[in-house]
Formats: sequence, structure tokens, C-alpha cells
Amino acid sequence: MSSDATVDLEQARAEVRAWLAEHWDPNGDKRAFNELLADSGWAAPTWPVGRFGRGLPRAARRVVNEEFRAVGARGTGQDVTNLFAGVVLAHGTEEQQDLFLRKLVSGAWRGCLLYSEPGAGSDLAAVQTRAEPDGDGWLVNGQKVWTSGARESQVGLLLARTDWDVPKHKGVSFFLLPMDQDGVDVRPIPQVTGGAHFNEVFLTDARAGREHLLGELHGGWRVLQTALGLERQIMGSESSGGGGSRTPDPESPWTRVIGGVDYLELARQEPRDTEIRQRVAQMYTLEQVNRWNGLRARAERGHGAASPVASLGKLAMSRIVHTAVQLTATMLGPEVLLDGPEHPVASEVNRSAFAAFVTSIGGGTDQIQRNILGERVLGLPKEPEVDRDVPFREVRKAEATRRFS
Amino acid sequence: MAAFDVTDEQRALHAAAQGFFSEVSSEAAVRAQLGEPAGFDRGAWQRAVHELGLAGLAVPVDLNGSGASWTDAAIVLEEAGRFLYGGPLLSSLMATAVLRECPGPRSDALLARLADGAVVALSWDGGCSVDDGLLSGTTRYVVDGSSAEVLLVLGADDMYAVDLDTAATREPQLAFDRTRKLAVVTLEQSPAVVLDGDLRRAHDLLDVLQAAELLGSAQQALDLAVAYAKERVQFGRAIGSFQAIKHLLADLLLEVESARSAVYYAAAAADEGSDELERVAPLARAYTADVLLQAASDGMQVHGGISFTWEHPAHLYFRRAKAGQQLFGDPRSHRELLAQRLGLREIA
Ligand SMILES: Cc1cc2nc3c(=O)[nH]c(=O)nc-3n(C[C@H](O)[C@H](O)[C@H](O)COP(=O)(O)OP(=O)(O)OC[C@H]3O[C@@H](n4cnc5c(N)ncnc54)[C@H](O)[C@@H]3O)c2cc1C
Repeated sequence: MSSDATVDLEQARAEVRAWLAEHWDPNGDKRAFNELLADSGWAAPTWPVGRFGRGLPRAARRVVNEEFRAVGARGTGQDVTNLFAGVVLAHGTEEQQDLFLRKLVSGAWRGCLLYSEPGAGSDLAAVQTRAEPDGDGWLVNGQKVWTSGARESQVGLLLARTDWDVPKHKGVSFFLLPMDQDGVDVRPIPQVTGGAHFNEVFLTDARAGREHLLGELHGGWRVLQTALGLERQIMGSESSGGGGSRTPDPESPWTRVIGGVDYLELARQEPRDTEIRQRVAQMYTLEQVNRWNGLRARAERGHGAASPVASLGKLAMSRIVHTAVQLTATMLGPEVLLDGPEHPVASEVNRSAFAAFVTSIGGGTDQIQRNILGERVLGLPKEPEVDRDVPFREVRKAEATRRFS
Repeated sequence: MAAFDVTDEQRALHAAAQGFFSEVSSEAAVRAQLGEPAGFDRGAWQRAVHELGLAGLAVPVDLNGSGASWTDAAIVLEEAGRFLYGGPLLSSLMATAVLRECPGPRSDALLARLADGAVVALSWDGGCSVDDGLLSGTTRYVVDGSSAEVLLVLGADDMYAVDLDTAATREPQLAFDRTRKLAVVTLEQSPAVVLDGDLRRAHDLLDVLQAAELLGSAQQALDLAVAYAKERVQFGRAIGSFQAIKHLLADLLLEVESARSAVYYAAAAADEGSDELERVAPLARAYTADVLLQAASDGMQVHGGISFTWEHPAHLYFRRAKAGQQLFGDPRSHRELLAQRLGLREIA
């Protein structure tokens, strides 16, 4: 790294430190702080000035994170973790950026992902929710499912069909759907982890205005790729599997600590046999190599090269979380038969055994990730697609396998 | 730690190593040595020593070496592994690591010889013992043992150097990995020189160097399988379009890239004298050995029947992979070491 860059980083550190000293009060009003934070540019330091960022290089993220962590403040790093704002920044018009970015960055608005449907999961291009022109906007009808956080959201990133007479990828559009309206009916679905973080969303003549179309009409597939890319990057990063900056609410389906309980601490509590020692070493290896892959991806991106390592994180993280719960469960022994608040360790390990599937199913399953790695990174040919080049109207469509309400 | 920051010099080194090994260790060149249990291509080694300075790559400049870092050494070894180079490069770099960790005039003298192309091999099985300054015993499966001038006898707590030209018998072995020359060396009251130093760090460095070479072989095994999956057609389409094949290769990609991260993180830890080395080194060694076995084995599966022929190179990588499971210790023992260093206790 050149010494100029180092000077810039140290200057950024001094600036963020001064800003926090002036504005951060651990006992203060968090909402007011978030508003100030959005305008300061420290929430997303690598985004452009005037777009809630400070135009800093990627390397500055670490420095800013460190300063926030040092005082216990939250809310930075959104240039990586706020996929809703990220996709608006990437594809929104100036008008849309003005309309949405500030609310999303300050946390005044939350977002949800209205992609999956009863008949379209891995095959998202097969969505059947329709958006039809109505005045200067669209009327939306259809059903979405598995929509995490829909009840708390003001904006839904919606994938809907706008043309039925072209092949499936070419007839979908992407909308920023206002969730607070009569046509949007959100019904919770009880989850295996307890709670009901995800939902069914019924759309009946829901309205999207002209300003809510993101990207081009019928060009939704391209916008979706950006959004999915951001989501997978988040799910594959070190912080997604617990620890990190994320403190999930009690209903969150996420893994809070990889394995449900720190496997290393648990392993150190008593002498362990050879098998467990081997498995702990293997588990530690999986975790470390993924962390180093992340560091390497950052270094390679810094050199302007597209890094194949960047796309490996989600699949790697899936194996990490599944392996970890097997290990912690083995170490707990028969205690893991129990559940409930009187057995907090067992219930957290068991909860995490389920939560591991969020990583291996949500955001594109492991199988879909392998297809992507095989095709986009290794350059292997795609499978023959029976619905390719066929107008979507004529394609065989999936039906819902179950209803919840 | 500044791992993964590749300099322009390192990019150039990588290109030079790749160019060199692709020439002197082409498949034809590797095959020419398969039936030679003791020898290697001396001409190529002389070029490695004198044109590229590879024997003394990590030997300090004032001892006629190139003074390169462990990361540089890893870059070169990765390419050597990719092309299954069979000359005494790994031995030379391993010996360099041991000698640099045991500083003193004796080591310096050996380092200077080494930089000049003298083959220095390692005895790692604990088969020799010392009595009154004299070493005796039979040490098994010494890489480059037949051609070495000097043997470094590595113990857990001590280290000796023996001049092999004086009192030793060496028996070249037919190794399963035909690309690498093994010997059984027997010492009978051979005069030995004691080397003192940080043996723990020396052992860790050996792991990092071996891991780098294993990584290169794994990368090539993957690359060959991917290329074949694009080219071979069955059922009217390239076999790489079948998910059973595609997913196998996607999983391998994850492993090989992860192994690469482990190797270069470990090399950076070695260069920076970081405490992390003691965990990272055995981790990288165990992991890359297993990744290579998976790559070579799945690589054969992807190639189908052709992989079962002597003529196809897939078996050469499989042989390397099997050797990587045992040479200088197995992955299991390295994971055990890692577990200890993570603070796990054994059942008494
Ligand atoms: C906790 C949780 C939260 C979620 N939150 C959201 C959300 O907020 N918004 C949203 O839109 N969605 C959300 N999802 C949905 C998630 O994205 C889908 O479940 C996922 O993409 C898989 O789709 P599916 O369930 O229809 O399964 P299917 O696509 O039917 O897959 C079933 C099985 O078939 C395999 N399969 C399918 N196609 C292929 C193929 N081409 N090659 C190989 N195998 C294949 C899959 O890998 C899987 O094993 C969430 C899911 C979970 C579990």
C-alpha cells in the first residue's frame, strides 16, 4: 500500500473519531443518531459524497468499523450490509435515490424481498405475480412467500411479470413496492426456529407508481442479479453467522453463534477424545479458510481484478454452519435431547441446527450456488433448459405445494 | 497481517517460475524420469540453480542466495507442484528453512553450499539416534536421499547435519509417486554436527513449504478436470453440463481456492514472524494434503476410463496426492497438533 493511501486512512480515522466524539452518546436517542449518521456519510463510507457516503476507498471500511466498535456505536458498514439501499444506488434514477436512499440508510424505512412465490423459488424467473399498466403506474396481483421481515417493512423489492409473451427472463420487472397500502396483505408463517419472521404476502390490486419501477421495464432480471449478488455476499461473510455486528432479534432465524455455542470454548471445557479433537481442528480450518478467502477477495478486488474467491463465501458458510452444529451437538451428548428455556445451551444448539438451513436454502440454495460457481467461475456449460426461448405464457408452471392461511 | 498483497516482483516471479517449470517439467520431461528411482534431470537443476537462483531462493544474499521471502518460496513451489517437478527444489527450500532457524557458522556454510546447488535432504522419521556425537540408524523415505550430499536429521528437540559422502548407505526406493525420488538411508556412527535453534518454527516452516507445493498440484488436477469436462461430450452434451460433474467441480473450486488462501496466509505469517504461524502452519499442511487428494481423486472420476491409462497424466497427480498423505507426516497428526495449539486437552 502506498504511503499516500495510509495517510488518507489515518485522516479518515481522525475524522470519524472526531465525528463520533461529537455525536455518539450511548444513552442518547438512537433514532436521532441514525438521522445524523445518514447525513454524515459515515454509514456507508465508500459511497459517493452526496449519496450518503464519503467517497472513501474500500480499505477505509475497516478503519471506520474499528472506530465505531471502539465506542460501541452501530450503523456503519451499510455499503456492504444494506442491500436495499445498495440496489437503489446501483440502479435507481436520481429521483429514486433522493426518494429512497436517505430513509433506507437512516433506518426510517426497512425493506423486504418480494421474490419467492409458491411456484417460483430457485427458478425466480418463473414468477407469476403480475404488474399491469394502470394510469401512470401499475397494479400488482399475485402471491409472494417466505418474505422475511415483511411486517416491519415499508418497501418491498418486488419481482413481477410485466410481459407474458417473451421468454421468462425477458418479461420481468423490478419494483420498490410501498408496503403500507390496502392491496398488500401480510400473514405470518410460523417457523421451525419459533417465531414467524417470514410471511406470505398477498398482493391484490396493489399500486406501484412510475417512480417505483427500478431499472428498465422488463429489465428486472438484471436488477435482481445485483440484489442477489449483494445478498449472497452478505450471507457468505464472516459476520453473517453470528458474532459480528448483527444482533438478531429473538425471532430471527439466523444463527447467532456458529454452532449455537462457541465450539472452541466448549471443546476446551474438558479433555476430549481423538475424534472430537480432529473434528474441532477441521471445523476451525473451515472457519479460518473462509475468513482468509474473504481477506483475499478484498485484496484482489483492490487490485482491480475480478476475484473468483468472492463468490465462494455463501457455499462455504453453509458448510461451516452445518458442520458446527453437528460438532457442538456431539460434544453436548445426551443433553442435546432437551429444549426450552431451562436448557438454554441445548435449545440454542438445536435452534442453530435449523438455522443452518437459512444459509443452505435462503438466498439461493447450495445447489444453485454450485451451478453458479460451475458456470460463471469455471465456465462449464449450462444444462439444457426446456423453457428457454419459449414465451412464458406457454411454459409449464409450478403450483404451490402447500398453503398457510 | 499483510497477507495477499501481491507485489509486481512476485507477479514476475510467478511468471518466471511458471515458464521455467512448464519447460523443464513438461509432461514428457516428467515421464522421462518416471523409471529413474534415484536420479533427476541434472541439466534442468543446474539451470534452476544458476539461471533462476532457485536452490538458494530463500538463502540470505550474503550467503550467495536470492534472499527471497517465504511467500516468494511458496509462489515458486506452487508452480513446481503444478508441473510435478521432481528435482530437489522442495528439499532445498525445506533445508533452507531449517538452517535459517538454526543460525551460526555451520548453518551458514551449509546454506552457501546449498545455494550453489548441493542437494541437502531431510530425515524426518526419527529413525536415527545420536551417541557421542555419532549418528546411527536407518531413516526411511528420505526425499532426494540418493542424490543428497548432506542429510539434516530432524528431531522434535534436536537437529543434526551429516555429510552423506562419508559414512552412509543409501538404497533408492521404487516410490508409488514415481515423480519423487525416495531413499532409505542408513548411518553407522556417522560424524554429525549439532544445529541449535528454533526447531518449532523450523517445523512450522516445513509445513508451509510442503503445503505450497501440494496446492500447485491440486490446482492443476482441478484445471485438467475442468478442461476435460468442457471438451468431453456424452448424451449429446459436454459432461460439464451435468450437475453431478459440475457440482463436484464447484466443490473442488471452493477447496482449492481455500487451500490457496491458507497457504499464502501461512506464508505471510512466516514472513512477518507472527505467532499465528503455530496454528496456521499445521492447518495449511493438513488441509492442502486433503484437498489435493480430493482434487486428484475426483479428477480421475471426471476423466472416466481414460484416467485409468498410463498415458494420461491424471494418475501422476493421484500418486502425488497419495504421497502427500504420508510424506513428512500425515494430515491427522497435523490436525492433532493444531488441536493442541488451540488449547484442547487429551483424555489421560
Ligand atoms: C428462512 C428463510 C428466509 C427466506 N426469506 C426470503 C425472503 O425474504 N424473500 C424471498 O423472496 N425468499 C425468501 N426465502 C426463500 C428462498 O429464497 C427459497 O426458499 C429458495 O430460493 C429455494 O426456493 P424453494 O423453496 O422454492 O425451493 P425449490 O426451488 O423448489 O428447491 C427445492 C430443491 O430443489 C433443488 N433445485 C431447484 N432447482 C434446482 C436446479 N436448477 N439444480 C439443482 N437443484 C435444484 C434445490 O436446491 C432444493 O434442494 C427464504 C427462505 C428461508 C428458508
